[in-house]
Amino acid sequence: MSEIGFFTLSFAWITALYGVIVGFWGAKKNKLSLFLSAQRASFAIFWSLFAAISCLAASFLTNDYSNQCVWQFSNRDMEWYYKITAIWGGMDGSILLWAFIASTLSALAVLITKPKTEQDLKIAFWAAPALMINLLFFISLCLFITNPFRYIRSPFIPPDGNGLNPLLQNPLMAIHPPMLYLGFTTLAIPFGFTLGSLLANNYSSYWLTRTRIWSLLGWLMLTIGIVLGGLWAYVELGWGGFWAWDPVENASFLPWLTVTAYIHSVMIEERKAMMRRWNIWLVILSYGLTVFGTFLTRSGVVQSVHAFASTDVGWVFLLYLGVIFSLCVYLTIRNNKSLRSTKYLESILSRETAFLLNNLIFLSIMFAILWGVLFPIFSELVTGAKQSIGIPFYNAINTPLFLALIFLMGVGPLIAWRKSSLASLRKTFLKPFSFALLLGILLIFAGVINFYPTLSYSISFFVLGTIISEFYRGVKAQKQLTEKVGNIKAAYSLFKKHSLRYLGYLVHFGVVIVTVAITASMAHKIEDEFELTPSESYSISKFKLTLNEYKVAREKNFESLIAKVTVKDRKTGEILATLTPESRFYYRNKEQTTEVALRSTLLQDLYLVLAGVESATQNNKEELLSFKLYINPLQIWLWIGALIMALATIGILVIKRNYL
Amino acid sequence: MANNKTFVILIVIIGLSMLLAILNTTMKTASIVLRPSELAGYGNIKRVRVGGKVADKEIVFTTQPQYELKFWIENPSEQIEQLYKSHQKNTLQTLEKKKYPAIQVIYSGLKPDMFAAGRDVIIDGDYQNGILLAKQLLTQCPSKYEPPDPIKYNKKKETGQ
Repeated sequence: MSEIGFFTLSFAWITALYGVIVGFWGAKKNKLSLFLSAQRASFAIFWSLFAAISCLAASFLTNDYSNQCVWQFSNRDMEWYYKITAIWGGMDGSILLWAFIASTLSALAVLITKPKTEQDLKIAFWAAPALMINLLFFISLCLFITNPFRYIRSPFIPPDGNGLNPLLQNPLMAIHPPMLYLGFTTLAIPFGFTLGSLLANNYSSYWLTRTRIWSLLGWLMLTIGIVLGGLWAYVELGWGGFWAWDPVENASFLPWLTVTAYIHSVMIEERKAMMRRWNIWLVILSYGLTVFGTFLTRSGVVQSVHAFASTDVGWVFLLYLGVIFSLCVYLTIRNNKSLRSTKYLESILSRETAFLLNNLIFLSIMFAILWGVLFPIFSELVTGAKQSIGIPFYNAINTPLFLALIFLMGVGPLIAWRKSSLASLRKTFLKPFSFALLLGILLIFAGVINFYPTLSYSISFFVLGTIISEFYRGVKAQKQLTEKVGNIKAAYSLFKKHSLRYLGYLVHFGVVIVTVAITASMAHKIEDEFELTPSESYSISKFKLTLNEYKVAREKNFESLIAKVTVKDRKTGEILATLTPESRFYYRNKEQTTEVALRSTLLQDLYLVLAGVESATQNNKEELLSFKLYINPLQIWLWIGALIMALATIGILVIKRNYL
Repeated sequence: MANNKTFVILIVIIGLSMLLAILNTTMKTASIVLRPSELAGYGNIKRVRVGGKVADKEIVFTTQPQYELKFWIENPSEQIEQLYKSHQKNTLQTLEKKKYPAIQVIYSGLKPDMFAAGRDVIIDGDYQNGILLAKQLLTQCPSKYEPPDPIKYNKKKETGQ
């Protein structure tokens, strides 16, 4: 199998090289036949990478331990579906998956983006090889440096493999990495089109709409990928949190920030043909950051718990990034004349300004995080001593910036294009603003006295108020337009008429919910540790936890200690839930893992971890089980809010599918 | 056109204030990054980040009076090998004991999953009187954990280790 895999991978590499050369040649000579040949090359790359990854999958499924990768991340006891997910359990397989997803998307982009006019065709001519550069890079990486088809360095074929880490044997782990890769690689498509446009020096609506929709698609995948990662960390790792500002988490967040900035500022370009250069660079930056993120996790440059074992692939990434970056700088300078905008901002009080500020803040957050990630390297270069910054830095810098962003989210969509007057601002924002102020004061009386949480809730209420009042105004206008219709019918026809706008609001609504959930978890989280012997109880907040019993269970792969804890309402004594946290010991990996017991309600999550057991032989008469409990308020709303964001975005994509 | 000047000024002001805020917060929160072997040369350090390997020594987890994990860390194995190479004439074992002693760590909190002797950890905390008081203990993310080389692994299996 490994031979076939290696062969198909080599074939993909040769085809990509051919595609790049022929594509550029064809674009330069303006020859359709060469362009079509480059197109066919991208299909060929897809099929050969499909064959390559199938070979790897087959090796995993047939327990072919002569393959290094398979031996490392699989064993005979694993279920077949975890054998498949083990493909991206390590670096070699994950880069092949990356290349495969990228080739799928490139082939799709070539297949469905049909240029209609002569002008469009010119962009498409250049975009095809531009897309192929990205493929060539990742396939080269896969073939020459992180080849997943290497044989094991052992005098004999081991009878069994090492096995996938038990923490990764979780359904979320099956979708989180591919989702993230999908997000990263989707961003290569707008980049390809943009590079194509720059090379052709032609920026028609063909380029704009394609870049926009593919960016939105990438944004969706990245959002889902990032949130799933948080969800996995939350349910599996047992530290009660979902985000730790680790360099690698940050690496996935950086392109998300620039893409979000782009999908906002592109609206100005679409409407007023302004900020073209800015937008082009946001697309380039987003792509660059995805490559940079891969570099970060695989180079060993930055100390991170997510980093792969340090390898020498770092310089390849830097070289590639350098080449791409210089090419883009050169092209923007060369095309300076046609990139210059002819229109200017007309007023400070306008939606353009709100968007511009939004972009500046997104970029500020991006730079702050990038600074945090690279600070150890900078400080070592400058002072000789390595220094690093952690969670306190990120929270201190980003909290005010994010709040400003949420505030703008309330202002931006309602303020008029071009020029707005103070009077109309008062009319639009007075009600939401008073609403937020009132609720903010109420919160202070309710006991939320800290500055940031109060501000965050109030701003969220403000945004919510603007969304509701805008929709209400729309419904009222709709009712006047068509007489004698009910509220619901009017709301429905309004939504149908301006579905894109209201789906956009729905995304914002999701963001508000996420903001509230994050604020709650940052401000009002309760953490406690306690120990119980059987039938003993512990009371906290409004709950009373009783340890009923515990037992030791032996399974095929692991031995587990299971505690049965009943949660009762402290006052009424009503049984709310039975939690069964586990502590597992996997024989093969000698790995101890905790299985969190979780009770989610709309109000809060009870998150119980079984920390350990102290045996009876010590000072205690009975065995003592120790627990760690987190009460995370409104946690479930983080996932609900993210789901709303994703669904609304899917709605937008479905409506705009023709622009793909 | 006049308006655009205002915007440029706005951008510059925002940019500069961001820069100041970033630098200021950096100064307040930055911690020095050291290897376990380097810690010995320092006295007490506030805010230090140490990346190392959990030493094959005693690991004690107690729950009374509070959750506490005591263990030792040393330089990552690969680094130790490099250090060996640079001192090839000396016998390796004495060198290890003399020059690169393990550092004791006290972490008040739960023992994380994936925590075991030989694993890479990153610790944020303070270094006081020869002991590293960890505020945060991160173990290598499981997806990035690379198992040992098969040859060594099989040898270990054969000798029953």
